[in-house]
Amino acid sequence: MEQTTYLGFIPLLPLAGALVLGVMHVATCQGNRIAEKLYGILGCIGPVLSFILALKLFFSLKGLPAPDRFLTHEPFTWFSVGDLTVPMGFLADPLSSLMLLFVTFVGSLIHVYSIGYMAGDKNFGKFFAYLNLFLGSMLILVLGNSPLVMFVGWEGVGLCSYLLISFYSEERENVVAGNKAFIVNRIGDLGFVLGMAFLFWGIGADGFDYLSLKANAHNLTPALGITVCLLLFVGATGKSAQIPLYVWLPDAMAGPTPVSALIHAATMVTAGVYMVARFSFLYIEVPVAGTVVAWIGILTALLAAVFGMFQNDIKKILAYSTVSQLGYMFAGVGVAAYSAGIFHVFTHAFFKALLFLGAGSVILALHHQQNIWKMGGLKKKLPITYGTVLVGSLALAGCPPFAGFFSKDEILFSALATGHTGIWFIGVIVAGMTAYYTFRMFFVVFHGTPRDRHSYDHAQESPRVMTIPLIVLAIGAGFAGFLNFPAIFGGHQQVSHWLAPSLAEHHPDAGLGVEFLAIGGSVLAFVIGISIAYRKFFGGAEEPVYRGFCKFAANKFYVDELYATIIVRPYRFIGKAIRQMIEPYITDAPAQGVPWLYRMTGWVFKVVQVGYVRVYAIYMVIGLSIMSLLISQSLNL
Amino acid sequence: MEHLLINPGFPLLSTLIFLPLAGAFLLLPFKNDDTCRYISLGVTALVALISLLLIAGFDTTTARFQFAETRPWIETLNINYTIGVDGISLLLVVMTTLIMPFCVLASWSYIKVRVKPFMICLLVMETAMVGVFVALDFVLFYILWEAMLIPMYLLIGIWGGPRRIYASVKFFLYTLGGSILLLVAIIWLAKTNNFSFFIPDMMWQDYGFRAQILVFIAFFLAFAIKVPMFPFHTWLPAAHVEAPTAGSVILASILLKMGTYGFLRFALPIVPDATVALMPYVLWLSIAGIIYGGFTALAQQDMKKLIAYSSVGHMGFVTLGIFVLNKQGIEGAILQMINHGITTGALFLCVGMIYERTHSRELSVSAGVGKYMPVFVTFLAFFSLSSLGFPGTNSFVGEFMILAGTFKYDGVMHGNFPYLALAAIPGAVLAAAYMLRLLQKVVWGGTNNPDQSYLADLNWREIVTLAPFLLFVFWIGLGAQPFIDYMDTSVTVLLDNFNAHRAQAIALAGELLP
Repeated sequence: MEQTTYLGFIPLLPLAGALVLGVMHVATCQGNRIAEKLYGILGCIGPVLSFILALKLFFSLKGLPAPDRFLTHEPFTWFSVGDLTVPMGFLADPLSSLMLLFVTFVGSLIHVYSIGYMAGDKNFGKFFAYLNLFLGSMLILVLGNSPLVMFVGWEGVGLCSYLLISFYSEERENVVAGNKAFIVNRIGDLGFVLGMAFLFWGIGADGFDYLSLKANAHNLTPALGITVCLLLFVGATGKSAQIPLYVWLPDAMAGPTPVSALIHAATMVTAGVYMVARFSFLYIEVPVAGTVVAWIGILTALLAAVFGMFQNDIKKILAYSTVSQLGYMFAGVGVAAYSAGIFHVFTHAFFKALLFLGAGSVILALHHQQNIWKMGGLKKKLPITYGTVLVGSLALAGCPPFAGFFSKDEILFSALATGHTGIWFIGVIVAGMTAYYTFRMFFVVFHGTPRDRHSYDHAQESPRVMTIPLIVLAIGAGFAGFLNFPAIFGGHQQVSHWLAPSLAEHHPDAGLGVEFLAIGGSVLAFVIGISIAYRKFFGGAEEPVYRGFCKFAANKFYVDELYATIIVRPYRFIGKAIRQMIEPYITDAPAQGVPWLYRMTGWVFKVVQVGYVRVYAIYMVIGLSIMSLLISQSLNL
Repeated sequence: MEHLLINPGFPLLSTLIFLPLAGAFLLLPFKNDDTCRYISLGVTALVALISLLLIAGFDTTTARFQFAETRPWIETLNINYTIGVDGISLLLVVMTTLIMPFCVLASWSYIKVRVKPFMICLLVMETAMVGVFVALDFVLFYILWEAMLIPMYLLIGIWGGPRRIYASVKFFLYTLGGSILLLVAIIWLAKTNNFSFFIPDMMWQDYGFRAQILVFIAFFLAFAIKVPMFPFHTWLPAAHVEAPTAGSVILASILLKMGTYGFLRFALPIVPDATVALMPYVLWLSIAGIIYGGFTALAQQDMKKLIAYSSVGHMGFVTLGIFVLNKQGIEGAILQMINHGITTGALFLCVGMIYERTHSRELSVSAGVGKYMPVFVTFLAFFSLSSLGFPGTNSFVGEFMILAGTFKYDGVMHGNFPYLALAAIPGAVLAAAYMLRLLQKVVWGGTNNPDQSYLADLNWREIVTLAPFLLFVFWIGLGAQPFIDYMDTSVTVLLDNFNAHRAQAIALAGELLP
């Protein structure tokens, strides 16, 4: 394999941008500010150049014969001790190049959009520094050639997510949400680290990069294989917000909306799916682990869809839909349909980024109003936003032939074809729920009559710097599905074929009947979901008062409160108990006991030391008597 | 002597030892505070530059002691002035000399009274510290080891906070008490070795198992208190809280490393059989320290205490790495000693900078200063990330190596289940929790605090003080290999000798040895 030096520049360009912007911001935030335009332009340079390099990379890979589509760049050894050798290096293959393409593309668009969205913010420069830092870390995550390099990016994106969730730090709850995200992710990361350590223990001695690991995967014992796969998946549940660690993502909506679009919908949260696909050579060996992944995924999809149906905050609705769609992706990679999972990552990036940016456009038009029950009838006021969000909603809801339909259908078909009927069935139900909550949001926001007259009157369409990215993404959300047009309609499944060299995947053979059943189920679910939403919300509806199960679901089954009671509070209690009780009275007891002993001894002897010469004379007489007695005895006199 | 590579030319190590002492004498006639500051800065900076010659001239292919010097000292008792560095001590020596100029800089405006005696204490301290790491004669080692306590005692006792007397006495007596048995062990060892106090002579000898256990216990008390290992750590928070910034930095970055250095230099080669026999207890104490330190740090209101307890946890990782007795573990541990010196030293510098402005170490008082000190919080954020083991920073590499070593140890000792590694892992979540708590409070918290807009951001002196630490955080974090190369040969030979000795001992004693 030849060395491809420009691979390193793909993540380095945004990172350099982050450094420059960060220094500029820190140096000037106290005094005279630098013009926003300069920050905006500098902020966009890195991502756009990375996108161009990613395109170049894609075409040079395409020029190679399919089995040889691997390019590396290993600038130096990170660390090496005994049989543990970790190179600092990058690997470009079909899987990472596909990820690169949409990450840099969507990333660049969102950078451009942010110029409009963040205008006037006093931390404008900081925002772009963080956004660049995020993109650089995400590209390291995708391009890293070993699990450890991936982990650098993995933690880097987590850090940026934390920083950006807490971005509006005047509100204390935003800061708390940021902390929650970081610590919950950290719990997941422990799984990742342990998984890596087990992997090193098992087969790491002959090289700890993906290609060496892949070559040695067959040496992994089954027990170790299951352990590694499940531990890595624990890491994925943290980053990709799956049961039981999904709780941070809805709170993460505290960050600025472009952040929600880029980090908490299109790119970072899909890192877990990417990781499972990256380790497909391990997961394919242990189907049990895959089944666990698939079930956790589909149950998360169901749970999040239930929550999503009862939310009132437009961003929370989208957040739960993200959790739910991520569940689908895991269901896909869990049943060993890796290319289907990655394809859903790909299409989801377009339509979910579009929906968030559209929501951002609405929120900005209404002066940071996020409650959908304060909106209504915005179709006339925001025509471009309306049209693009409609495309995004249709894609999310799985309406053929929009992007989401093909990718979701591919996953459900794979589940059915590999005999996971239960997963397929739940998946279809969730598809119906998705259509319902998506169009509940859509109808309430854009149709009917305005619920808040004042903000409606002041609403106006966003500037072009924001609407053009919306339109571009809408085109993607509309047509990206055709890239993997199923064979049943005479397509070529180009994405699956492209990904094939990177993934250890067997395509299930299933008859036409299964294929039609899968498609029919999805379409039926979509139609039912959207028609219920149409009946209830199209003509306008008032904010409902939830009771019974609906209230329970609207409060997210009180999972946050449960975690606080059984995990957070005991942790704090232990810390407090140690500080106030154990440390001073038990651990430090010997250190305090010894001086006390000395003092007591001194006190006892003090009684004897009276200070009168006559008393000392008596001591002397007694001492001399004893001495002479002893001497006389020893001399046997 | 086959252990030494005598340095024929310029006595580099002696210069490093005695130049600071000479600087202390040089200060004596001066009265002006600023003159004393500049002279101290000049001397420590010169020492730092000279120490770079060690790095340049160090031969990484041999495990023998390099730049060695030996002179008769007390001939009647066969005590010599013998010094030298190998891969285990090299980085520690250089770290010591490099950190000292920044300790002077950190005291520039912090120390306002009795500047000259303060600087003299710092310089004497440096002499003793460099000496401890390079001494190859056990008496020389012991004298310097104890001599270090006096300037440190004065630093805390004179320039410390309100409870300085309590803290300094506790520090002095606790650490002194721990090392009394060390002296007994040294004399016994010398007696058994024909009255040679030369440390390499004592290594890999056959002392008998019971004697080894006793010697190990003497070593352990001295070194474990210094590290400090749980439950011998209670002097540390007290000393840190009261010490002036430079004192805290020296304490955290250098003094604590002497305990772990002692384990590597003495316990492993001199009493290997006892080390193996008692290893499990030491390992579980390390784990206890990691968890206990983490939980305690989580509940602190005092920033210095928080970082002090985090040190207990981090040093637990170091002892864990040493006593798993394999390459990844030990090299990770040495790297982690350096990392902890850099990161925790820098964190104490940061807290000192806040303290100079708000005159409080309370987290709640400092809450929200980030709004007015963006440069400061940028530094603080990077050092906090390093402290919680963020990949790309120095601590991650060290901790990962130790973890890999621990897994290996588990593989040998516990069959197929990594008890030890799993037990150490929750420490990482705790580290994230307490460091984030610190960072979040300082950067964003405290909307109720009175107006803090009078707070000035870092000046150039302070930026210059912190910037080199940041450089090393990322240098080691992204390219640790050059640092590992310096220690590799020495650690390899140490482990080879260790395993050879063990094989021999087992063959001789058969079933008698554990």
